[in-house]
Amino acid sequence: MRKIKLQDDWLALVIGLLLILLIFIGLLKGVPW
Amino acid sequence: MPEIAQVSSRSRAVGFLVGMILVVALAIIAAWISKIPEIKYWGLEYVLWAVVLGLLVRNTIIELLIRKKPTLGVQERLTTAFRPELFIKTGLVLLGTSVNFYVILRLGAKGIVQALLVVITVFLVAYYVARRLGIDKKFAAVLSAGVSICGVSAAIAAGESVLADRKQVVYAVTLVVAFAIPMLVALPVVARALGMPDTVAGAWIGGNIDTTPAVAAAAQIFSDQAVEVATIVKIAQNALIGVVAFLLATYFALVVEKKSSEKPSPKVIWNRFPKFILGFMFASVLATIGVFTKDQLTVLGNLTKWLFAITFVSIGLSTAIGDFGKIGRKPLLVFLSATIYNTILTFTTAWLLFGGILPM
Repeated sequence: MRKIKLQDDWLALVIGLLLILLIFIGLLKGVPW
Repeated sequence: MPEIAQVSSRSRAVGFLVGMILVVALAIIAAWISKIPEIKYWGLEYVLWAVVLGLLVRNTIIELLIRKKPTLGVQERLTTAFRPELFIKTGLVLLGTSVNFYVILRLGAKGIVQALLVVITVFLVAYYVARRLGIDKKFAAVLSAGVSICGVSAAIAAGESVLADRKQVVYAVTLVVAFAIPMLVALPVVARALGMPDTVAGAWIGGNIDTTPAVAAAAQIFSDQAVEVATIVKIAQNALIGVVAFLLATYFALVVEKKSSEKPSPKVIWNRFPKFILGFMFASVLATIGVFTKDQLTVLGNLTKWLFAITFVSIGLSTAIGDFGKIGRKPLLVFLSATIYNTILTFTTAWLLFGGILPM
């Protein structure tokens, strides 16, 4: 449980920042809602 | 359970794929429903539809498969794809880009004073009531964070800080969403009946309703001018997620679960601190220094919504309605009393701070 939480924490941090980076450098644009 | 235990990696991959397709498909349907003009008018947001659809599928089709074909291990196979914690944490990192401290300062000290008053006192009232009712400290912390800050995100961040049981977090999240709906309809109507000015109504709605999309929807029902104030007041509260996560991690590490042999050290707090909050904080610093263009902020906002939508679908999909019965009515009472207190408090502070009674 603890291990999963830690994995999730770091994974979310990395994915989140990666998505922000992709949007910032313009590789990810026009996500519709 | 031998059949289930021996799920091969290939069938696990298939389960994950099917689960993921299901989650995304339901999220798309939830988003689509929320955009139907009549539904949008009533402010019934995508978060609600996502939970409802998830619950519906889990408690009908999946439940039926579990009962009729237990050897298939449907739930076990699919749950690898239902990872609400991972989705919401990623969503929260992105949500950080919506917290721009310059925007918060636009309201002057008023927004910050109200946010601090609301978050601190509502948290303490809810925590006190919860403990008086005999709810354990972890669940009390999750409920209090949910009702005092910004609902769903805060409940999850708090749940991570205190290592709460997942069912408790899901229950708190469901309460947040369930409470937001009547408030969303009632607050604009009451505000109009009382003849509140736009800024006062905005501050009341922003400080009182828990989930961020519901705040925007309720303020929208009142007036366009109310939306700006309501949203900024809400963002000011959202900005406190990191602080509360840190304080809870510290309190639980050093006081509640302190082992007699353990010396209070930064390492103990660090171990418990939800690391993704660092991403949330970093993202809000980036937004504050103006790194993103308007278009990029829109994309970030949309992506956050998608992540939240799949989170709520996953929450619904992993919740058997029968689980709720075991938790009982006490959390509901905590939410109810804290919400009544919050309504009166923010009504007063909104008039005092935003109605020009107290010069600030």
